[in-house]
Amino acid sequence: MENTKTIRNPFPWIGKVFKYEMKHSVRILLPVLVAILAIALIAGLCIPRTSDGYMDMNFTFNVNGSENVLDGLAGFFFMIYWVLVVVSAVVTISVITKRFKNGLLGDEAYLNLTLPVTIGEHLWGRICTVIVWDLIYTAVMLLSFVLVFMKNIPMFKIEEDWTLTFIGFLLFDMASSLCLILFIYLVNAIGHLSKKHRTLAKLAAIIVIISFTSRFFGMINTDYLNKMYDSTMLLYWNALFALILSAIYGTVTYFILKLKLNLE
Amino acid sequence: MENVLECKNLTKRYITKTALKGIDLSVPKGTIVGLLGPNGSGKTTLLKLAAGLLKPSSGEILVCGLKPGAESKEIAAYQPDRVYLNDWMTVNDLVLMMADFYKNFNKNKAYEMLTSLKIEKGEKLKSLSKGTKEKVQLILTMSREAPLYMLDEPIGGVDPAARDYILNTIISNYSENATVILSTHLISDIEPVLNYVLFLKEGKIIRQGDVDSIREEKGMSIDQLFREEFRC
Amino acid sequence: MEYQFTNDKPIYLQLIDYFKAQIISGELPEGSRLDSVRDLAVKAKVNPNTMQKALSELERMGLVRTERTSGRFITDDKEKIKSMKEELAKTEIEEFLDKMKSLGFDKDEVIKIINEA
Repeated sequence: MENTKTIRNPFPWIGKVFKYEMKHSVRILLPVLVAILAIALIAGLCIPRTSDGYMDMNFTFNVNGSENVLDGLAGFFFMIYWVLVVVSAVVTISVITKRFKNGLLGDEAYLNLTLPVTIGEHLWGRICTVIVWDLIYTAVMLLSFVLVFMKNIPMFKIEEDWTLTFIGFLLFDMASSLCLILFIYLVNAIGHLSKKHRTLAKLAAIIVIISFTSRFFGMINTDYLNKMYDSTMLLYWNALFALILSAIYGTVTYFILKLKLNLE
Repeated sequence: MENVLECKNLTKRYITKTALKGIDLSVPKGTIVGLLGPNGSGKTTLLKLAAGLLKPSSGEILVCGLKPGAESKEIAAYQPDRVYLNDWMTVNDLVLMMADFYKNFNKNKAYEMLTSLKIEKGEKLKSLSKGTKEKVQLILTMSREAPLYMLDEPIGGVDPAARDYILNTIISNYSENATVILSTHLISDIEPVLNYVLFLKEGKIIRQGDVDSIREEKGMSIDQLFREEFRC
Repeated sequence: MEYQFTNDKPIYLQLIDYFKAQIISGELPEGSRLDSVRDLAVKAKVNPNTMQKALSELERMGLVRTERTSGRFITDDKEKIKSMKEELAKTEIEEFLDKMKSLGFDKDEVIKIINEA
């Protein structure tokens, strides 16, 4: 019996999973992001300047008794912009988690598990998708910010130590998004273990995981770190914690998925 | 590699029941095999184990000499008993995806078969009739150049014309280096196509062997033998 | 041609009967070229191994011959076909006479009925 154990190279497979996940999610997410940029542009153009050069954020319809439609419109678009920001975050998270649920636990699982891809590769491909979408999302948010506040830009001064904070903030944002998504994956995976009491299982999972996590990290976070580091370094520390949590959630999810193969 | 599928004391237990009880079998290459048994006898479970969708409770199963996993999935082709392809993808998308994931997928063969059935590449799967969807699925499975094809109930709730097409495709894809295992409870239609059978009853193999030898030994067709051995 | 297979005889033997019938009726003319094993198997909806077995037997009987590069051909040996035809007829008639006998007719009575038909 041939048994030349050739070590499997997972990267092309992770790449393929990533490719198709991106393809599937782009259809919904890209229009949303484009809409944000469009609204941001319009809002930015509409918002008027005050006499001392800054943006007038008063957004009043009535100025000096006469109707100022443009100002009102600006306010309207400004509000829409923020609504879209929140909506896009919700939509992105729900699309990504729905694809996970569907792809590895639901309808598409049949197809995906028939493919010559290991569970680990399936998970890593999806994690790469999350990371990429997070990067795109962050970039779009920043760009939209610039567009909305474009009339303020010339007045903007970037202080030196802002760069470190900025990077810290970015890292924290990405790590915590990954952590949130993997948390949702884990809860769904646990929920799927029980056929009849799915919602109950998910609820129990949420409570258990959150209490365990906050107890463990609460201990580390508060006293020691607050004394030792300033707020910028705290960002980096919290990013690290989020990464560690992500690793834990991801690993447990992996084992649950493998275990589920036995139960099905 | 002489046997494309081997099981040694293979058992699959669930909480409520034991689907397979100590299965021993070996399927040689170059055969068209009928996995025959009534509903609930364990046919789907056996094929899912071979396809790597389930893990055994105990015992051993080898597909083309490999334990079921990503490597065996690259080599052997499996088709479940339902339409499992993404509905919203176009036929061409699916062809390209199969080509992407399977080295042994023959794109040209797939396009040829689709053309001969006048199926438009650009059509979304969900806009096709159920029968056409099943044909597309079969085409994608049989376009793989695999030493083992495992088809779960391919002719089950399918209209006679589609059934003919499926059997034709299986016969014309036959080669001495490939084996097709198809599970079914409709035996008379496919009996002439089979040259090896496995009788599965309540999770146990009660008979396996070469069709001609069994017909000679028992003096009756496989269909008749089946009815006798599975009488309620 | 619709192939109907019965349960009592191995399929390859039934395939041989079909081929013989087609040779006699002229559907498969003498010297004509046969399709590939695969195509024949698809048409008859049988396992290619079974079709191969039937063809090998037909070759052994001398009704089919294989030319290495060009494929399989029905024999153009008219004598062979004629004697096969006669043999088949003989078998049918013997079966018929046996059946008539079991119904209570003797040979002369049968010949009389045939002449009147």
